[in-house]
Amino acid sequence: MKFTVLTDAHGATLDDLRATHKSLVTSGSKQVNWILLGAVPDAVKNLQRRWSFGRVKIEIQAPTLGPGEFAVFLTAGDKLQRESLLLVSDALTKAPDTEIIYGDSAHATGIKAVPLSFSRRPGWSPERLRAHCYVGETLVVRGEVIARAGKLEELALCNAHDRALRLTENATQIVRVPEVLTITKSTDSRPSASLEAVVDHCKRQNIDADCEFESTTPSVRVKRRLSSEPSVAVIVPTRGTSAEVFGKQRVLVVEAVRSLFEKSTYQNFHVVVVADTPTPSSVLDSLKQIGGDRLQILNYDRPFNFAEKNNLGAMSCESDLILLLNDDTEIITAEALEIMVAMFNDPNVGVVGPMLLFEDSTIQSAGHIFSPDPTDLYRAQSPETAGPQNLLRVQREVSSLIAACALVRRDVFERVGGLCMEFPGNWNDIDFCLKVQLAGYRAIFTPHAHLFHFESKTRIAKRVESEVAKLGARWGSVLDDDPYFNPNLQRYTNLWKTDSTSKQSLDEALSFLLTVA
Amino acid sequence: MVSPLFDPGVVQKKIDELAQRDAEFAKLAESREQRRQLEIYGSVREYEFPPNTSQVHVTNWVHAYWLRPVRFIYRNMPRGLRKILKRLSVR
Repeated sequence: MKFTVLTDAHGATLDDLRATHKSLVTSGSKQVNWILLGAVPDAVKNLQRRWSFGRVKIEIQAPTLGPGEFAVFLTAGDKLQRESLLLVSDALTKAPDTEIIYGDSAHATGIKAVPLSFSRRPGWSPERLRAHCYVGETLVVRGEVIARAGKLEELALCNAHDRALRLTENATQIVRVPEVLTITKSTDSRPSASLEAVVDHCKRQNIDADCEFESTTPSVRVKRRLSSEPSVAVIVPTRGTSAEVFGKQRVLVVEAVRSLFEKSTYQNFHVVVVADTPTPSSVLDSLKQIGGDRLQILNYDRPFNFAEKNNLGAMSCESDLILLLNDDTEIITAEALEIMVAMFNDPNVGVVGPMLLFEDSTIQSAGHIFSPDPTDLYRAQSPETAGPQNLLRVQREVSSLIAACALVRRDVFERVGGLCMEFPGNWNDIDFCLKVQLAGYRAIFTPHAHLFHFESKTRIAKRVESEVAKLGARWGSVLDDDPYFNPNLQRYTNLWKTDSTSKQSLDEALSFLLTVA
Repeated sequence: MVSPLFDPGVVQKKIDELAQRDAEFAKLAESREQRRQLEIYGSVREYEFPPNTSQVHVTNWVHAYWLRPVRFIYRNMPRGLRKILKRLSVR
């Protein structure tokens, strides 16, 4: 396979270019065309004299790529990992329609004992790319995509975030290779972000939004404007439980509903409370007082089934959107509902979830990861945690969201059959989000909308083997390899942490010993 | 805006329709999963979470107290034998 590597050499030192050249020789491709844009003639001559076994051909003008040819955008000073182009070729053999490939990268740390840190990247996440260039600077792109996106030279010289946005707008088959493809010179492993690039992208894609640059992260926040005010049905299943919150005894559902009516800036909603028969009448009276004619109460007299309660509430009313809301929640961000509703301007979005916090303001849920058991990402960590590559600060696609607060399009909810009633307590939300994605919609987590979820911090969902089997029978492949996770990360944890490979578990070691014996 | 509260019969019918569509999606997902299992294992088996192969987990069990005598014997055995065991263990 023929690769054309493009490097912007403006201002690059000869040492940087030498390092890149050396890596191209061992990149695993027998023939690499290296296009050095803006390089000084002396540097080009020097590099041309370097021994490369005839593998690297250096030019200073960008060619026109033929069909089936691939361009690799590589920053001066960055190095392709040994045999990385072989990995890329393998990925292209497995999926011949692939248009863009990105992968993990290693960064110099400047620390002698730990010379490299790794950026492990999730699968293709268009919402996240709007916030920052999480795909990294090295992209392998099919010639046809480049022809659609603009001139090769222009793309090579523009900002990495701008380039990634322009290219991905013109591609549908975008693949992540979960292996280190580049070793970057930069010690900053945080993804870069460009406000101008995102503003231009929004114009090109007709996204009606205000874009703001958040310098601390750095990232761009795309605040979609509401084009209409769709009606929202808020479904709140309850038993009228009381609990101590912030040192005071309170009826959870009453305060959850009160916070919606009093705090939310978005008011085109009505509430459907699905109350178990033992719910005290005083609680129902308080709810009626708060909600007035914008609140309905449904009696639920069957054995507990969270999924059925939500389905009952959703089917008992009409609305454009459905908000699944637990009774032990409270709004923190007044615009939370507005932010989530605005996400549905994108017709491919099926479900949206906010950041949920415990009573002590630590993170309760920032979307699920399957590692491989479904876990709330960064549960019980400080809300100030940005996560690796600012993971927790940006809107992004997730495999699943917690149903304690999830906004869903009604047509999508009905199309996928609502929450599965065969999962009465656990994992109905996971099954639901995966069904939504199977139907071709995306699940989005937004860290810009915050709610309290007064769940016990020590509560661990009781794992029922039959439910594991049922969930696995439907979604085993996604659980084993979550597209928005990375196989090189530690498993059975809620953190995004690189794992060292080639280690055996106790089970594996014992089974091996038994085989030998 | 208050939406109309439907008749319980109508609501139950709608819930039944939801269950039916859920079953259709489940069937679709299950058949996809079964195809994958047949490709990988050659048979369909009940799903279990795979064993934990994370570094932390591995490091923890290596330091289990009951492994101490095993570790002692291993460290004190002839070098040749140790090499053979090592090779076998990473095969």
